[in-house]
Amino acid sequence: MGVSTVDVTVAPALREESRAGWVAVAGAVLLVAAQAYGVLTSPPDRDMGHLQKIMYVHVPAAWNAFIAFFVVAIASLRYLWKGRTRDDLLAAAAAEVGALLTGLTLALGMLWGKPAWGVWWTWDARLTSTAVLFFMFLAYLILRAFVEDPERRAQWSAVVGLLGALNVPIVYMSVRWWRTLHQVQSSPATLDASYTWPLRANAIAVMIILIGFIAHRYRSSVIAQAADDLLDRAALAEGRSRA
Amino acid sequence: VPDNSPYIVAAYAITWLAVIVYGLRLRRTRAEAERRLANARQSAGGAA
Repeated sequence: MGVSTVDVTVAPALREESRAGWVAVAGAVLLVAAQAYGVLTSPPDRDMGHLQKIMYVHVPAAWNAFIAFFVVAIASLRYLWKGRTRDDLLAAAAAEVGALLTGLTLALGMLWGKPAWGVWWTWDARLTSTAVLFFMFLAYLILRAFVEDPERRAQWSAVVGLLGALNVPIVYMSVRWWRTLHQVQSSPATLDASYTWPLRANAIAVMIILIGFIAHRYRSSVIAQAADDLLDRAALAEGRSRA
Repeated sequence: VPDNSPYIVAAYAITWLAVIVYGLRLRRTRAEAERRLANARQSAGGAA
């Protein structure tokens, strides 16, 4: 009987496997087009020349990391409220992809900072708060890897996830709240019009990849969870039949 | 303006490296989860 219950639970995840994969592939194809559009059509910046092209990978990575952490916050809150395992798994999936994008944001920022500022790194408010965000979500992933009790792992993760997500507005506003070497937020208000659409196109492409990655990771976790539940039930049934 | 091409090329290369490596890792994770489920079904069948 246990098998059929798990089949019902997992079947949608198995069916939607290819859909999540194809979403990520579609995002990657769109990203090629968006990068070509940005690199080939936007004029060199007055001060930075073609170095400005790094914006098309750096800024979309940062924006989408913020979206991932927003998902972490919502799913963590839902878990703490309703206690549903699936919300915990969704938060974990989004945290993993968010950490990847934050790490990428930092690496790309360093590649932009060295030629623009003359240094790979400086303890400026934007860079420091982004590094704190990155390490908080690394801690989140390490916590999940080391806590074995599923309920305790989910509760602690939800709290760390919420605390980490609270850092996002600080990262975003840091360039306004403190004097920073980092420029103010890139937006249509602060950018030349010729850079706006390539930036939007790249951000949308990365967002589609983000959705595909989170969905794929989440469904893998649902399947793994179903396998664990099935083994638990089988062990319980075996124990009962022996007794 | 100096030639900053190496930085630009490195930025795009790192981006694609991250996307491809993580994408492949997701595929592996998925395959592993499905293997675990198949094994669990077998074990559950055996137990029943």
